[in-house]
Amino acid sequence: MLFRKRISLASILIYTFLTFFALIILIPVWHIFVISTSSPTVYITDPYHLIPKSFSLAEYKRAFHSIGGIARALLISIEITVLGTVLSMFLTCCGAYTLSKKDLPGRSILFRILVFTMFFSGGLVPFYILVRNLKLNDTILALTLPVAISTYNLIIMKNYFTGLPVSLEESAKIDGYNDIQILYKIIIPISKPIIAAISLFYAVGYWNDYFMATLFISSNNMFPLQILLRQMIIQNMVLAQVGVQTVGSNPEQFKMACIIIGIIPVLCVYPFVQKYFTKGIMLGAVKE
Amino acid sequence: MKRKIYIRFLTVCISLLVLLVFSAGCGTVTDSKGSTPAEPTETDSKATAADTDSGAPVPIRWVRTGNEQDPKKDRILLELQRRMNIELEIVSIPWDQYPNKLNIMMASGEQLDMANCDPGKTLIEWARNDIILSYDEYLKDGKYPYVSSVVNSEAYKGLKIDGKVYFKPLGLCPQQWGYLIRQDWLDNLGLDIPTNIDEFYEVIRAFTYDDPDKNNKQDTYGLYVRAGGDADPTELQTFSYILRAYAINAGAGNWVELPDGTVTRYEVSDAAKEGARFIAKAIKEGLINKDWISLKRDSAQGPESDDFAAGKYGIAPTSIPDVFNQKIMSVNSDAKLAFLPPLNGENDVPPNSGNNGGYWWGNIIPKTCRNPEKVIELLDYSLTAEGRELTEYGIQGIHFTDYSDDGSGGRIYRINKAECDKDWDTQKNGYLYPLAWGGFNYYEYAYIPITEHNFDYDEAFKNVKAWQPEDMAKGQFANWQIMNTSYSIPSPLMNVFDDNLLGDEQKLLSIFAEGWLKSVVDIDNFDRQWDEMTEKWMNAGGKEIIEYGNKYYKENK
Repeated sequence: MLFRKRISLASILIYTFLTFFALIILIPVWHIFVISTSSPTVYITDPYHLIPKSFSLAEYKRAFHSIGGIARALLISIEITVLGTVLSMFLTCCGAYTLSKKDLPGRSILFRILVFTMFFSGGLVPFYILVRNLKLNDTILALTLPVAISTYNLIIMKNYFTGLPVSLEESAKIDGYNDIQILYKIIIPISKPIIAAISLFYAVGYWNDYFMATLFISSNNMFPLQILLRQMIIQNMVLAQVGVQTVGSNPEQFKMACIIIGIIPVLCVYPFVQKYFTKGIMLGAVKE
Repeated sequence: MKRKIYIRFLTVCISLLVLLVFSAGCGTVTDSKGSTPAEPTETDSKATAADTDSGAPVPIRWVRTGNEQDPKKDRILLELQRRMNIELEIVSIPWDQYPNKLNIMMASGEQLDMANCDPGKTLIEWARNDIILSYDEYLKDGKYPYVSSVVNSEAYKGLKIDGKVYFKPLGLCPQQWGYLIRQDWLDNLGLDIPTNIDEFYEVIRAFTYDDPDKNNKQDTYGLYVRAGGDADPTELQTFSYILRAYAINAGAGNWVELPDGTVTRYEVSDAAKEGARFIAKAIKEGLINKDWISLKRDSAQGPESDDFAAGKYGIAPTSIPDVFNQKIMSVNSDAKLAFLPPLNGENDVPPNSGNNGGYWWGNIIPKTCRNPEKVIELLDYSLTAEGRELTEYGIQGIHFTDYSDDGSGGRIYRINKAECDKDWDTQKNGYLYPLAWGGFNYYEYAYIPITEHNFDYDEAFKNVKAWQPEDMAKGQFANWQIMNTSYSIPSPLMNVFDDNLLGDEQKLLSIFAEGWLKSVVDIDNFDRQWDEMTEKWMNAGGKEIIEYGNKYYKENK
């Protein structure tokens, strides 16, 4: 009976569809990997093969030696992601918990002000002047501090905190806890799923961020990975356009090597945090 | 009651916070590195005076894109700083964000001593809003003859804004792109290198249908085009080759001189129509790859060179012929390549290879510059033979051992590859120091002999000398840029940036590109499509531009 259920027509269709869908995503990534590790001659004669015919790490070697080195950029990206996520989570948790308190004076005004920032900003030039006058230019803080709180994430977290039983806090108060103790000893430990999900949102945002770094970073040795990879690819194009000889390199293979380098860290981490992403998508979807 | 007090308290707190944020944003900082107001502060003036008096290096904060070098470690930049007694700080911005960030920096009044940028409407606004300095007053006493010869040359006179010089162009080879043709295919077919448009048609037809590679398959194209995502089809080098047989320096935005001495825009000229008609015919006869409109062009010429090496097509536009040659040799050692010169054009149009105006980008001096004289001194030095050598091949005894004469007044440098590898990515830049392009000059592998032509830049530019590394000088396509430049002829009103001549550039280009594409893919209705396009173009402001252009041309001829 059980066996029959497993090989039902629906299952076959579902698995076929999912396999097909997975292949649509996997094949291009695999193709990029194969081409990035092919020898130039093999690539020129057959640019669309999926079974490796040769193996060369020349383009990876070149990428790691370009503009100050990818290793340093990778380290800076990790620093930005870790510092930014910690800072964001601290501020978001504090803000969300405070706003979740129904007896907070001026709560609705504060909330409206926060929502206002989702739709209106001061403009790019004032933002640039503000960060520069705070002397944050060319520092990691410029990439984390001004965007430390995402209003959207704060609202999600605030809604989650609001939904927690009031009796928990009341009992803690009876035990003599103040608000800060309640937040760190009661609320946060029971809110791990949302903290993990929101942390992941923040971390992915910081990892992928490109615009903030172009705006506030001016030194090559401070460029995060995303900027460096893009710079390497685009600069390669410009060099060829203006007529500088790029002897011995193949721009297409170089681009593919850069893409693989850029996605490896995310591929390594993602399987371990994927479940939180799924939970995160569900957050706020159901209101009880 | 208590609640109301809380709300008032909160309102006051928020107002204070907003005030604080505003004061932080609008305040001024007078440090040497951060922001500065438009007028130099007392602190800055004192610092500058002290620097000059004590002989301490003068700080220069230079914003440019594509920078790879660190002024604190790079041996060539250290040497440049030592020779000029300056302390360079390079603000590096990624290529694709450069105009945006520079605009923000300029608008915010950030302290910058020198910047690289494009000419155009933004630059005109900066000049008129007094955000950038004019070079004129610093050039009066003849202290900087090299810079003076460049900015006051005939070639760049149109770049002046309201009669003043704000922009020092980076001299670029007027045409670094040329064409390669498969000589072995021509030999197989018993054809010669085409010299006019009729012969060219015969060649591309034979390359498509007569099996030029003798593999018994119809797998080659006469023309190979990648036009996907391109805003201006006439900019595509493959089409340009054909279009230039009908007009000098053919291309959207350029001007054409008519037999009666008046000028008109290329877009609505008869020459453009005839060029497009040839392309429409080639498309209909299947002489162009069928996916030309969807394939995306790659600026690095990667896919183009790969497909050429794979033998898909036999005529390739390129600025890097050695790379094409190397690739094709790596898969087909029997292949033979030859230079394809521009065609003798129709209606007495001479062979011409297009002209980009002879510059790409330029140096401007923002109003916040601390020492404009020192910046111009640096630019002046970069144009001397000594400065050019330093910024192109590095330090003698370290990056190169010596050089010899190439027989035509140029130089062949013997490179010390191991030392160059230590200072820059030679796989990407070759053995040309990265500051050779996009810093002070764009004319790669060359020297513009200004001194030798008595500071007549126009004359010097016609007599550019090749300065090449030994490996390159031995190659089949040595002097590629100089060879292509010899066919370069500027069209009328080149390098003139005047609001009335530019009009609504994007709108006009979009009308032209759309009409041009409709015409070439629908040859049966070619004339109707073309006439519709020209009418629309003229009504969108084109008529006024042409009228103004003729007036300007007459007055400044």
